[in-house]
Formats: sequence, structure tokens, C-alpha cells
Amino acid sequence: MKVHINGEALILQSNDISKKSKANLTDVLAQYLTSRQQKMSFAVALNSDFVSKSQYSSTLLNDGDSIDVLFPIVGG
Amino acid sequence: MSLSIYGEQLNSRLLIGSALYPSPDIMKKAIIASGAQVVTLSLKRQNPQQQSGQKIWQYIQDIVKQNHGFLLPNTAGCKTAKEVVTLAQMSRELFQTSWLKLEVIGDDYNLQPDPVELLKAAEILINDGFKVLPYCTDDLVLCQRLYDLGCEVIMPWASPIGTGKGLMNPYNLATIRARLPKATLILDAGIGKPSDACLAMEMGYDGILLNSAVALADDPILMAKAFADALLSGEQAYRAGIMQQRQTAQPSTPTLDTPFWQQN
Repeated sequence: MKVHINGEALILQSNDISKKSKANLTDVLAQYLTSRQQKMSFAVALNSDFVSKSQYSSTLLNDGDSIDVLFPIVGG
Repeated sequence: MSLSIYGEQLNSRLLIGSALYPSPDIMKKAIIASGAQVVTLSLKRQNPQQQSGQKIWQYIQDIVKQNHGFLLPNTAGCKTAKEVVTLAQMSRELFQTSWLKLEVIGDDYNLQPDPVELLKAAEILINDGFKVLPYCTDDLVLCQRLYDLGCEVIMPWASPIGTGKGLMNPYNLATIRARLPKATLILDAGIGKPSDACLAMEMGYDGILLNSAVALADDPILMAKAFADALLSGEQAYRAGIMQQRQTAQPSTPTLDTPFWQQN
């Protein structure tokens, strides 16, 4: 399965989803983010809609989905 | 006199941005020197190789804790109400605040807010429980509409973001103040020097939001203090009541018993 995360194409590794019919957001975040980043504060949108943390595991992905993972930065 | 934002009482009338400083340490010192209790910040993509974001976030949290302050996430970069709503919801979860500096840019050249999308976004966000602080142009009717929607705080620009041009149209800004006496008005964007901020406060504005004017100064920490003093002066002058201008000169020294008068 291929998704886009922060504008980059990402092929989901089969061992992440072998026991399930579809990957979920937790799977893709585990593959994309470094272990350090996974401990950081971030928020997620799927196909331009917000997804709360409590819904990551239950949000199933489809081929071609677009995911945004945003982190705090400075701003004016 | 304190500033009230959605029921929160603040000791400082200055709201300050966290961007563009020479270093995180100077940012922290400058914000603390400013006395500002509200610090703006944002959300952006970060690839796995970047490490700097978390350090900045830690700095901002430390500042807000030290100043007993509040985070004010913005929606910088958004161009539609749809984008704004998604980013706002992400910010609310991450920053644990319903306060939002609402920005919807309508023109890339001067970063002018899009009034149509702004109103649309403000209505959706208010209905979703957000405390919206909209950044807008100095258009009276737009400000009225935002206030009518439920924005207790309105933030018209002084001039385009980052220009430092000061108050481009004092007449518009004074009119907004006169026509919306109950709104909390914060001048946002385009402030260049402390006298700009002082002028707005003398006009009766409730506060100032700025970033570049402090961050891009040769000495941001000293400039932050200068702005704090300017806001205080302007606010005190407004409360003291500024004298009316007069068309002709009026002697301030009593003319009675002027010496040497008979020699002229």
C-alpha cells in the first residue's frame, strides 16, 4: 500500500499489516517517524481532516491516502 | 490596568511572536523582558531528520510557564476556511487551548487576509468552541461582522506582516475603535517601532501583537523592554485623556504682568 505523508510517498511495509486487512494510522506513524519523534508532540490530519490521537488505531488507511504530521514551531 | 482576553486577565497588553529571533536563548530572554504573557506559535510539517522543533517547543513552554502566560496558536499559511479548521483542531489537541489566532491569507504579495474566508472560518470555529482572535484588515465592516459572529477580540493590521511600516491608516483604526467600543482591539502586524505601538495605545487600542519589530532589532532584549514601556505610556496617556489639538497658538505662560511690555 502506498500513502503520502508530509508530501513524501511511503510504501507501507507488509509486516506492519500482515495480520490485518488494512494498515491504520498507528502503523504508518511507527514506520515514518523516528523513535524520538514518536515521543514528541505532534498532531495528525488524514486527507486534510483532523484525526485525534484516540482515533489513530481505529483509522484505517486506503491506498493513496495523504497524511500530515505536524509539529510545534515558532510563529508570529 | 489589565487586559482581558476571553475572560483571562493579563498583566501585560503586549502579545508577542516566537519567530525570527537570532537564537532560542535570545527569544526566551526577549519575551521575558517584554513581559508579554501571550506567545504565538504554529504547527508545521517536520521531516524525520529535523531535530530543532522539539527544543523550540520546550523553550516556549518554559517561557509561558515562567510568565504565567498563554499559548496562542496561529493558522499561518492557510488560504481557505477548510484548511484553517483542520489546523485549528490539530492545534487545539496539541497545545491544549481553544484560543486561536485566525489567519487566512488572501494574497501572497502582501499577505493580506481574505475577508470572505475569514468570516466563514470564524463562524465554523466559534460554533466548534474556539475562542477566536482574527487577524484582519482595517476594514470597519469586516471588524463589525467578526464581532457580531462572536469574536470578542479583533486584531486589525497596522500594515502588512513583517513590513514594520507602522500605522498605515490611523483614520481607519480610530474609526474601528470608535464604532466597536466593547470589542477588545489588538493591533496586529506591521508594527515597526515602539512609537507605533504607543500611538495605537493612545488611540484606545487594548493591546499590541508583534514579532518582527523585536526579533529583528539589533538588540531584541532591549527592544522588547522598549515596547513594554511604550505600551504602558500609551495606555496611561489614553486613560489620562489627551488634550484637544488647537489651530492657533495659545501661550502657556500667563500673560498678565508680562515684564517690559511698555517698551514694545
